[in-house]
Amino acid sequence: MGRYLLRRLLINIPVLISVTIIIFTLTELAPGDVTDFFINPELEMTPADMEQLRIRLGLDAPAPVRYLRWLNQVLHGNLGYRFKNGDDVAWIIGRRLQATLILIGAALLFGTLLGIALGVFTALRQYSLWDFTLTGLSFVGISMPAFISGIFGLYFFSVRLKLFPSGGMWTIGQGRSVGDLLYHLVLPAGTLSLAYIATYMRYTRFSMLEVIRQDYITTARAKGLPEHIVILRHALRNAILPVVTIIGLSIPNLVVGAVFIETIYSWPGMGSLYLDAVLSRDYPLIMGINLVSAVVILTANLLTDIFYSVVDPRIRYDEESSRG
Amino acid sequence: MMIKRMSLWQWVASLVMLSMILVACAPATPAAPIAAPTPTEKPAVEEKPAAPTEKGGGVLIGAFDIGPGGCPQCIPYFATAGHTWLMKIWTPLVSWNADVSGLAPQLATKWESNEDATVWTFHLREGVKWHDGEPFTAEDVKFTLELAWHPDSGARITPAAKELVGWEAYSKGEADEISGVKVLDKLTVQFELTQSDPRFPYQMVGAYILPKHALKDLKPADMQTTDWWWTNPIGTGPFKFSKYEKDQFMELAPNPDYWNGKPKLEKLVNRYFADETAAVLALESGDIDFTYVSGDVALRLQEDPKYQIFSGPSFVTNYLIFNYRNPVFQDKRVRQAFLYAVDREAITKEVLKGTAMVVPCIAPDPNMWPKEYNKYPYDPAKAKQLLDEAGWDYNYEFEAWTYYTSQFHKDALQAIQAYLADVGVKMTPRFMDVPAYNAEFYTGKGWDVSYRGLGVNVGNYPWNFYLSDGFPGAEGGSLSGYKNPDFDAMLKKAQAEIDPDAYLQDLREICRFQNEEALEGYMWTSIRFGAASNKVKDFYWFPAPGGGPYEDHPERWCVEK
Amino acid sequence: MKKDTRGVKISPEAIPAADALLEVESPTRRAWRRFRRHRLAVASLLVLLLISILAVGAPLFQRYPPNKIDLRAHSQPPSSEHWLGTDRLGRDIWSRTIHGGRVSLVVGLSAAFLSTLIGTILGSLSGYYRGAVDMVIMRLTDVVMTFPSIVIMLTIAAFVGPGLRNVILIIGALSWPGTARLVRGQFFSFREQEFVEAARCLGVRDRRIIAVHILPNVLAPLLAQVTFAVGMAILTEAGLSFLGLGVPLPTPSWGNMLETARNLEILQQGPWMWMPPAVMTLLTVLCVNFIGDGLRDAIDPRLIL
Repeated sequence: MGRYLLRRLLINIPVLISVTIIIFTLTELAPGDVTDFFINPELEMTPADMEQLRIRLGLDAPAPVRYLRWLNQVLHGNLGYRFKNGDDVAWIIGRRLQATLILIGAALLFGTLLGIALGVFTALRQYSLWDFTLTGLSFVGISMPAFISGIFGLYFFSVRLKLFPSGGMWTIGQGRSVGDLLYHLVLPAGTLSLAYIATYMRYTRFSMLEVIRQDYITTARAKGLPEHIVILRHALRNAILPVVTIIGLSIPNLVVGAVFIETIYSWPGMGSLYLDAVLSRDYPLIMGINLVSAVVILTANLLTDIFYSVVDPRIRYDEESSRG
Repeated sequence: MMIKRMSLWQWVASLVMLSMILVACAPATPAAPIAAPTPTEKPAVEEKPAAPTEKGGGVLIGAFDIGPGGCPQCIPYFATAGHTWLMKIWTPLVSWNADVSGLAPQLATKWESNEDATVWTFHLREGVKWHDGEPFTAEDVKFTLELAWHPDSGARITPAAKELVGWEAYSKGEADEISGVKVLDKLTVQFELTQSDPRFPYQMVGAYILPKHALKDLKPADMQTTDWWWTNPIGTGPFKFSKYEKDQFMELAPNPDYWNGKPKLEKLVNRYFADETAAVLALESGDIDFTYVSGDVALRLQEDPKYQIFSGPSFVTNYLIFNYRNPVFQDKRVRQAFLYAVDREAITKEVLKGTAMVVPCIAPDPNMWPKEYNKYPYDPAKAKQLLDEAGWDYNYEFEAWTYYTSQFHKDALQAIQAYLADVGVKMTPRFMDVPAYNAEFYTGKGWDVSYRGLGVNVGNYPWNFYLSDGFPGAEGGSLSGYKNPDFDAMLKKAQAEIDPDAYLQDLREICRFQNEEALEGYMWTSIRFGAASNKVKDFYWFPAPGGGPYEDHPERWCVEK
Repeated sequence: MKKDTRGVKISPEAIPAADALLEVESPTRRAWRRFRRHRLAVASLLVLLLISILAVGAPLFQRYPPNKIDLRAHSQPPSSEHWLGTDRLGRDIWSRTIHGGRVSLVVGLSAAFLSTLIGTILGSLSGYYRGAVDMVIMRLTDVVMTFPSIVIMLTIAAFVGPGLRNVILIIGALSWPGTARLVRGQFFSFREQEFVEAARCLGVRDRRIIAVHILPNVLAPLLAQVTFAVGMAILTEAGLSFLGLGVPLPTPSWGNMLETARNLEILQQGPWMWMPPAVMTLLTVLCVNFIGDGLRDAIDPRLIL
């Protein structure tokens, strides 16, 4: 197990480096660099000014040199500074990551709890009216992209019913309270969780149906154990394994995956930050976000594997195809 | 020497919009909204602090910067917009006056030049104190300019800097001061220029003065990264820094020693919003008292008595620039046909809902227009006839580049495209982001037509966009590839003109020429809007060009509780 | 309702036995028979057919050309003149919606085809050769999968510029890992089977074994995967256009019609301008997913995608 983990860990390093090289190359190939972003097309600026700016930002060096400079800086624990406004990249990412984690964390938590509960519920009532309705709705949930659910949510619950604020994370001038945060969180997290609820419900239902047919469940029932104990202790515990993998697979979307919801609800998270970085060619920030997100994703994959192997000792480590 | 005050409001008033524009402040405060400033105006000491019975003060929360706001974009010389807010903490020597038709005194009370406008002397205001109580002097002015215009600072070097004697040596590190900035005495500073610039004071509008005593140890290279700006900034403005929360807000407290009188507000807060939508909702829910709004929102809010709407010209003209390197656009009849083909009046009226005005030339300000000019009324038949005469190839397809992403301009460009399609001209819009656009547009190559905007006002005319050798970076040395020695001569004459009236006459001649030649496809200039809650009294806002600072008397603002 | 309904249900496992009795039924016919039982899938197929007819025949069903502006009739709510109202330039929303369907279908089908092609080739090679080839291809898959595809797509879309062809290429080039993994897994199980061994013994070349002997067996599970890929591609195009990085204006596409709803005024004042594309996107993807689900059940009920 130790060797397996070490190997998994080491394999991540070339993956990480290739990802950063790819992203760097992409930003290189893009038309225009950050100096072009600084020109206000409606004001005058001379080529000499632009050249001066380019030198100051270190853009005059050839691309491989700049990549190595960046890598060196990162190895020394510094993600650099934003071109756009001189912000410390690590600092701004930390700050935005917090907002995104709150948003996605809430959506994921809500999605997981409700999704698993509904999954169990529908599995126990297979082919009932409830089952058909909820399964049908879960398809709607899966087919509904965040930008549509977000727009609908904004239109109905904020614009029409005026139940929730239309965006932002805090109400200004009221100090920061958990209540206020929750008030701002409901709509974005709610609309974002729809897809999670639907996905987890489907997987839980499928998995529960599999488990319920197993002999040991019949045995447990035959022993005269109360039905809720059979379901919760025996069935759910086993049925939940594949669901954990699926939750692990949701992690890649954690870092910048909420870009639509963040854009629609002006949530100050990583998704909107990334969009801004891309549109302004702010490559220290683009690279920084990609690096952080790659690290988060790879770590999450590893943790999912470990978790999975702990709860399911049948996993063998000689095949490297154990990822879900 | 000042440009004669020109009433831009005269033309704004003539617009249909007028009804919604002038929403008077509550009668409770009889003072005129904005008094015309005189250069010798004294601090308004006779204006007593709010009497205890009068509901004064209050907290004003506004969205003064929309888009990702806050620091480090809160730094003067680095910020490209947000001057409305910067002006609350810092003060330049001069600013625009209230309607941006001329200059108003700020830290300088008077200024004059020698005969040929190569030496400018500014007389500074007496008795001004920094927020920490230190006196403001001419040394602060020299210090500030040498800090901000130091080659290491990374700040945008304004044209004013490059005109100064000694700046070139300073920028190359050959001198440790800008010799052209001279402190004559504690309250007099003089600028020596390498060339005549009759409009030099206009160039100083965004130059906020910083405290030498607080920043003297700051290395120019650290100017953009120091956290002084959002932890302990000191200025001479009406408000003092009190609190800053990244991505959220900045809060200011009144400066009791402000030279124009102690502000009535108890607090002034700038809250940051990701976009206009969020800010407008915050205004409607009462979270904030002021925000910029688009024309659509302004039209909706004006129906609601809860709001007061402010408006003014954007000073930005939207137009189609033709690339003269492409021979098809060299024919005047083709360019004129484009103007006849597009129903500009209908677009401004229906699509832009009266929030824009058709222009005859690049100047958005009617003061800069000649009395008579060709209006190019909508006439598709005439357009077709001109195209036929010019031998236009109806199978020819070209792109129109734009960097605009707002709904307003997306609609406008699609409308232009549809009108041109009606006369058989095949133009495809191409929406680009700003870096991609700039990287290619300014080379002068690769594009045929571009729908863009250009800021123009009496103080800042974009000479380099029109001079044959104005754009050394682009192919052939000019931006559009248009070369005409006669037009160059007209431009150069205006550029050097010292007498304000003659200068204005020159600008009108330029406008007439642009209009007749259809040098570019001149479309319209938009009107910009702000909306404030009616609880706010004596408030003033104006959409200044590039957010340049203007006189808005924030010391008079108050909020009803 | 009875609590335990398992006895009533025809479990999928029971079907092979039934087939054994009938014997003559071909796998295709069996799949079709099972598919027809999935009523939602059949209904979805009909709805999708209708949407496709409207989209393909858009010029026949339109009442006005989709880009025809009419400034005197802009921002009008639905009426008999304009069934779904008009947008801010007076363009007919009905015409734009059905024309937008063309873009969605073209992007959905082409991108799904591209990603399936890449995924199948890489997956076959990986699953057939295993070892070093597998290692390299799977690491590549990791790199592509490591990133939420939307990030890479945003980056590339912003950098190569918008355009129908670019959107198809980007989506196609980045959404193959799922297919590759599926095909690889299938190849793992087939390559050891006797008929493959036999072919190899007869000296059949690898390329032929892959293409002629194994691949046809993979097609069935692949079909369901392709269906889902079409749905994903349609959503991705709409998403990119929603962020202004997809199909450029004035070409109508559901994504860029929806994009206008980011403007609060339009969101609030003109729901008819953005509701039709929103509903159509949702409906189309929903149908595609139901069909995919039906196909999966019909072909291999135990496959979970």
